[in-house]
Formats: sequence, C-alpha cells, structure tokens
Amino acid sequence: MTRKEVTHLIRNRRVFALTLFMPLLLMTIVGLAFTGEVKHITTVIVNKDGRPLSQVLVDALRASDVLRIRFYSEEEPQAEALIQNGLAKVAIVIPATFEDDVKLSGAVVYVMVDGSDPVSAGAVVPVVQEIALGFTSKLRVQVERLVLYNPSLRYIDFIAPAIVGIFLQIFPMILISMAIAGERERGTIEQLIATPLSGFEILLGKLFVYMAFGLLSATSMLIVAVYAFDLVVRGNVLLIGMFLAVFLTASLGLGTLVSAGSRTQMQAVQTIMPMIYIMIFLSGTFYPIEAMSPLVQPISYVLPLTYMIHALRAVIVKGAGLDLVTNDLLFLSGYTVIMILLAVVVFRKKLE
Amino acid sequence: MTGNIVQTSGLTKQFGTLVAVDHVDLSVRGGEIFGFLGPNGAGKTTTVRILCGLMAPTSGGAFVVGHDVVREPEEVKQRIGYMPQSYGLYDDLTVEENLDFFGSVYRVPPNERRKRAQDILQLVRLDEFRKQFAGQLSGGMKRRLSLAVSLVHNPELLILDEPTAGIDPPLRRIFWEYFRKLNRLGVTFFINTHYMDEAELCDRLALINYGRIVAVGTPVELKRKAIGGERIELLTGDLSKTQAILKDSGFVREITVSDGGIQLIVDEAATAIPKLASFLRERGIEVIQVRQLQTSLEDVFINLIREAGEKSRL
Repeated sequence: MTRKEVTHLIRNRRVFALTLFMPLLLMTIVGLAFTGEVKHITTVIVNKDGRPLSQVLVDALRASDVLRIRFYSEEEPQAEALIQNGLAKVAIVIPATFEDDVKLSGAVVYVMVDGSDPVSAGAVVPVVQEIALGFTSKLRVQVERLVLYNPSLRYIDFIAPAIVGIFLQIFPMILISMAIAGERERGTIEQLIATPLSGFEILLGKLFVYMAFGLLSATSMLIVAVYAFDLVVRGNVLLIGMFLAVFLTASLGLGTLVSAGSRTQMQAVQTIMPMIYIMIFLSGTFYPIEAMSPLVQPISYVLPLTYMIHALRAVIVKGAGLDLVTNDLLFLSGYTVIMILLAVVVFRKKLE
Repeated sequence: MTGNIVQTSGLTKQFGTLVAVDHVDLSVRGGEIFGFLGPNGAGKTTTVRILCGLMAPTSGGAFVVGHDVVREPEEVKQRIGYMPQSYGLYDDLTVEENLDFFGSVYRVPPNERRKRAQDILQLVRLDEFRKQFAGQLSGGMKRRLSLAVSLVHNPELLILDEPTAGIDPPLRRIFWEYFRKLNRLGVTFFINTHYMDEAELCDRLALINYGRIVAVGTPVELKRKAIGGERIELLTGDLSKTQAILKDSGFVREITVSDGGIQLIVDEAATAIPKLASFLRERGIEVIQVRQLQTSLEDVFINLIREAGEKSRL
C-alpha cells in the first residue's frame, strides 16, 4: 500500500515537484524576504543648519545601514514631495538653529515618515534616536516624529490596499483557470469547440464574467475597509478603479495561460500555488522591498503585484494623482497587453 | 467537387510516430446513413474530429457540406451536428438550458430556439425532464440529450461518434428509430460504430482498421466481397451426386459438404436459387430444401481485415 502510494506520488510529476520543492521554496523565500530588520530605508536629509556639528550628525546617519541616504534638500516641502511620490520613505530634518540648540538646552531633530509604510516608519525613529544619542552623550538631542498620510501609523492602512491587490492577483486567476481546465476535464470543451464560436469569443465570454466578478469583489473589499475599519481613501476613486481593471485583466490573462498547461482543475490549482507564495511574500505586501535580501529584490521588481500594491498604497493612503503612479500604470498596462495577447494565442480552438 | 456531402482525399493524421489516420479517401452522399465501422483505436474518432474541424489533419484534406474543413471550419461547424463519444454537456445546467445555450451559440434566433427545443425534446422523449439538471439524468438520458444538442441548429449532416456505445440494446433500437426518422426528414448521417448489428442498418459502410480504409460498400456488397459471393445451403436426396453434378455446372463458385447439407457460394443467391432447383430436378435429384445463408458482418469484417493484412504483407 505504501509503495503504491509512493508510486502514485512520483508518477504525478506536478504533485511530486510540489511536495519536493514547495517547502524549500517557501522557506527560502520567507527567509530572504523577511531579513529580520528593516534596512536601506530611502532617506532624504534636510540640513538647514549646515554648520560642522550638523555635518557630524549627517555623517553618523550616513554610517547607518538602516538608512540609505539618497537625497539632500534645503526645504521641507521638497522633502515632502519626495516622500509623496515614493522616492523617499523618510526625511530627517535638522533645524537651522541645531548647533545653537545643542549647546543651549538641547536640540530637536524631526523625522518625517511615510505613514503608508508603517513598517519602515516604525523602524526608523528608534534608529535615528540611537544615532542621535551616540552622537554626543553630553548634549541632548531629541527626536520628534512627524507622520505624513497615515498619522496613527495604522497597519490596516498599509495592508488593506495590498490585500486588494493580492486578491485581484489570485482569485480571478484561479477562477478562470479552473473554468477553462474544468471544460477540458469534463469533456465539454469538445462539444464547445464543435460550435462555430471562435476561440476568442469563448475566451472573451469567460473574461467578461470574471472581470465583473473581480471588480465587484475588489470594490466590496474596499467598502468594508472604509466603513468597518476606517480606511481613509485620499486619492481619486476613478484612478483606483482604473488600476483595478487593468490589473484584473492581467490576472485573467495569466490564469488563461496556466489553464493552457493544465488538463484538470487540480493541475491548474497546483500550478498556481507556488506562484501565489512568491507573489505574496515578495511583492512588499507585509514588508518593504528595500529591506529584503538583494537576492530576491529583482524578482520583486518584475512582479506586477509589486507595482499594483505600490500604486494602490500611493493613491489610497497618500492621495497620489496619476502623475505619481504613471510608472506603475505603464508597467501594468504593458504587462496586461502581453498577458492577453499570450492568452489569445494559447487558447486555440483545437483538440490535440 | 462532387455532390458528396463528405469528401476526403488522402486524409492523414499523425500523432508522433503513430499514424492514426492513413490516407483515407471517403465519400458520403447526401441523404444516406453512412456507417464508419472499425475496432477500437482504428482511427474513427480522429477521422470525425478532423471532419468536424476540431483537429487539423497532418496532410490531405476534407470537404464537408461543401466547405474545406481546414480553411473554413466555422462554415462547416455551423451546418453540421456533432455528438462526441464522451458526453460533454453542462451538468449544472438543466436540459432546457443546455439546449438553449447551444442554440444561442449556433445563433439560432430565440423564438425559433424555443420551438426547436420543444420539437427535439419530444423526438428524444426528454420533454418531461426539461427542468432537470443534466447531471441528474441517467446515462441513457444523457446520450439522448447529447443527440438533442447536436440537433439544435437543424444541421444537414449529423456526425455521431459511437452514439450508442455502452447503451443497452432496447435503447440502441430507440436511437436507431430516431436516426431513421431524422433521415427521412433529409438529414445525412455519418456514424462511427463498432457494433455489427448497427452496421447492418446503415445504407453504406466503410471499414477502417489501423487507420486505413479496408472496404467501402453497402452491407450486402461487403458481404459478397468478403466471401466472394452469397451463400446457399442445399439439402437433396443424394448429396454426393449433387456435388458431382454441380461441380461442373459453371454457376457455383465453391462447394463444401457437411453432415447437414451442401454449402454453395454463388454470385447472387436470389437468381441462383430457382435456377439451381430446376437444374437439379432436370437431372433427377430431389431437392429437399434450398435457402440462402445469412452472413454476419462480423465474419465479413474479420475476413476483409485478414485479406487486407495479407495484401499489405505482400
């Protein structure tokens, strides 16, 4: 009996690969994605003082590997703009009177954080505090946090947009691939392609249904987040809708591709499972991508979900307009067009 | 182009190294019930899938209802009905919904669709079950529904892939009643089967084995071809004398004698029997009984396949 079962397992190559590589894959991804500490937070420094003492502080900040200082700015509004368009997550502001204050009663350094990423925002303040303390033990430097966008640093505001993205990535993909593989499994595909319907019509019929379903679900998710969990939508609702539609189309295209390689619904689901893990853990859903191991970051940056989540967070939490998420939209649109073209090519109306 | 409703030439389909269909030339005339007979794995299903435009041939071509199945598959599909071997309807739709869906797919206008569905359901006696989910039907009813679906758009040609495989004999007979009824209304049939009794009911037959056509003709023609004529059994007062006389008579092809009587093979039994009787009586031999022996298609099939095998080995 045991031997028979092992034979089944080995003969079913997809399941065999799944049982063999899935645990390794999963653990490796999680290990590489969650490095344990948040590092390389993109930072802009606004040094309004500029005198030697402030320079020493800047040097100390630069020495930290938690921060990656990408920009220097003179004014807070510039720094804020950098945060709004996502180029920086943190701005450290050294006031003009810094050197004097340090010598007198004690100075204050302001840390402006991006509330749409509470993980980075939460991590950065203690680090700056530590550096400021080590900077001089005799002189008092106080660190004050200013949170932009999500002022209470609520995790729901960070997670809700990402969950909508994940949902749109996974469920429509599973549904359409199961719908197509199901036709094959039940043998209805033969009767269907014996009709004068073109392959494109068959595919389009399915896409429409799951498109409507996906949009409805995503909307209901956002409504629940807003009314039950006080998510504040700061951006344009139409812009959000546009992202949802584009991304949903891409997911359905990907699902069609998966179904092309699957004869049964079970196979389709088995193919999708490893994809889901990679997408969820590497797209920056729970953890900022900058903090991940450089080994997996390239994967993050080719995952459409990464761009989707970035855009949704920017629009929903930070109130970003189209100008700030153009790159995301371009990437996603390109990806969608490719997916749909591939899906149409792959979904041929022939038996083999 | 001939006036044939199905015309293939050199139709070939290869799967890897396996030649499933090997240079098949077939012609089916409008209005007939054409049987495609062969054992399992002979290439019947592959052939009809190509004819229905579901599969592209490796080489050769086919015209069905006047259209090239490779270049104009949609034209073909619109005008033929296809009943696949494996049941392929939607279990979670009702009988009526299945019919309506396929009707819409064939672009039958809604009100015509409803009327047509009614007629078809009556024909296959499923009208009582119109509200039932297809998944709840019995095996035989599913087959009937499958046939019904292939009829929704009033096709001029029905291609049925083993429509009665695995069905009990009474229901098979009922199926053939439907076929005859539809045939009288002008529908041409192309039926895959491996049942010999069904093959008897076809107007014309093609025998296929290992992807090759072995013989084509009416059941009677095939029988004649297989045994080189028709068989007659003869019982006379004096068997050995009869045998001696007939040997040189010229109108008997073969004579064998057994305990029960003499078996003869002649060109055509209907004309040979009266001739034979008078011929023997003239020579003073008492004819006790003379009758034509039925040849089963099964024998024919096995004979012809064996012959074809021997020929191909030469």
